[in-house]
Amino acid sequence: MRSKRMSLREAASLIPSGSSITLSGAILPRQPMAFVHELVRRGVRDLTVKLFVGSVGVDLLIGAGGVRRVETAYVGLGPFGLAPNFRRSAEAGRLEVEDMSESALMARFRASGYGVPYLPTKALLGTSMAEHTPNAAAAVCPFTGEQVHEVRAAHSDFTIVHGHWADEYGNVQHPVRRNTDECDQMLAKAASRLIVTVEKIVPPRVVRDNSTLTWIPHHWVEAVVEVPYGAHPGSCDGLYSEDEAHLRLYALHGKTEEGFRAYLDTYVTGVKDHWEYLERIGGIRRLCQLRM
Amino acid sequence: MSGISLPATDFTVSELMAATVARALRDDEMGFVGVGSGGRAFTLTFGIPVVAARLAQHAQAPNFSLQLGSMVSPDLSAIPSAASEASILNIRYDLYWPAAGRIQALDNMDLFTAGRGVDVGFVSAAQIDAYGNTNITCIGSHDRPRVRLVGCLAQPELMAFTRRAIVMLDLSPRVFVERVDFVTSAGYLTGGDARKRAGIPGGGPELVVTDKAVFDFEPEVKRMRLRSVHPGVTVEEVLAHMGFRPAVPDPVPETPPPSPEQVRLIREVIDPRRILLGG
Repeated sequence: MRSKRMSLREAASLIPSGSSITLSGAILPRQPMAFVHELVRRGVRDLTVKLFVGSVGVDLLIGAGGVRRVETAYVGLGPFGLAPNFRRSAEAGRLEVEDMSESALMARFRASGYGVPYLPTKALLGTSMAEHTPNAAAAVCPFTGEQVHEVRAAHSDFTIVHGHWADEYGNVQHPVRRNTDECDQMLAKAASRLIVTVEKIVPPRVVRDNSTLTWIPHHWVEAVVEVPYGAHPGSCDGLYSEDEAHLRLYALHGKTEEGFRAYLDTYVTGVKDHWEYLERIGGIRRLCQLRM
Repeated sequence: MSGISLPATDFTVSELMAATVARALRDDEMGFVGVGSGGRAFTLTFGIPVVAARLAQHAQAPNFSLQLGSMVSPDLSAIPSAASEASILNIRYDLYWPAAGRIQALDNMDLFTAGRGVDVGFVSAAQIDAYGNTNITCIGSHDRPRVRLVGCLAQPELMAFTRRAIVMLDLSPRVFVERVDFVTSAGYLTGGDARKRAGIPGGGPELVVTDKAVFDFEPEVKRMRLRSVHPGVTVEEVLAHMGFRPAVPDPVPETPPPSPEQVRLIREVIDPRRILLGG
């Protein structure tokens, strides 16, 4: 094992414009927000973003003009409404969207992690999903004659996962009490290169003494970055909850392009780094209110 | 209102909808409720089925279980006091609501697709058509939608791989359309045996419970059929709120109201802070 520790800036610089990226998280928990902010500060463009179920992370990247195509089972702000930039860009015809159901999308990610070009699914039968993407084709099972669709492996250049803690080698762990409604481990395996941001980098002994909690082992990982509150305004289960007030503010500003431009100026492009962002959203007082 | 004996005529439309759904649930079944939206959609997709499941547990189906997202058989008598609708949907409820288990999303979906997990899928939608196909993806064309919605979630699985689905919706001509703009989830497709011919394994939508009436589907043609109208609602009023004409029997029965005991349970025990069913 060797150290894979990097700064947020170094890790974000690995991703050129035109890349395909997969983002972790399950709607509001564990969106790699600090990493997304850094991509926006760098002006990365023309991304294809693949997600299981996404919210403010992909929406912000779309609003900053960084995304060409999204492949997803959901983009929205959960109880805070529709994702404003996703909605505006799709309605304007500026954004390609592939819609797939959760199990079909899992088949796509699983195929990539499994190392095969496609997997069959029955979840698209009778629906409109296959009509609007080149990544699904109607087929017949060679063994049973059943009708299925073959869905193409959802491979990306990079996956970015936000996790709880890791050692400097990139052994990523999660707490016993956690949100299980996610498939970040599967997403971690679906790309050529994996970047992990975590709330805290811990001494190697912490990992070794609790090795059953390791969820992403070091040999999958290219870079590990310490970013406290790196999922804000989303949540990191067990550590802090979503910032409802900030998400409402995000949804409100997102209603218009000008409003969203002002949001970006205030919270993303107008701040130097993640530390300044944390000051801007209310600093330690606000962060303490969000702690679980 | 607490402590005052309620007449059976005093109930809200959401209470009536929950009682109607509750009657359709059977002992030992597993139902599935997704999570994710807010406002009236929260009441329709989450609040009504959760209340219905608890009512069914108090009556004919003591062993009815629910799965809420990846949470298996949460204790419906111990809904966390985290208070707001936003937090019940999010991380605080997810971690602290007592439950039998919390399974991985992958295992969750495998149970659907292998047909061994869920008897009843609870869904709502932005559009539903005459053959029970639903849409939560986009209004208008997919490439240039008039309204871009959230996507598909696991709603296709809830409709394709369960024994039956129960749909909760408010009646409106914009929602009840002859043909959905995008088939997120397959109902009976174009009717007749189209669903079976397409190779879809599960049973399909059984009931559509709305704020004005209840619908089911004709056994052969599979077109939506008016099953009952709620007390005080006329058939004409129902048809005026639909973009297509359903099959209409003669006479049309009235939806049975909730019992005073059901109303008491909802208001005093199940949802005293009115989070699940709204104001």
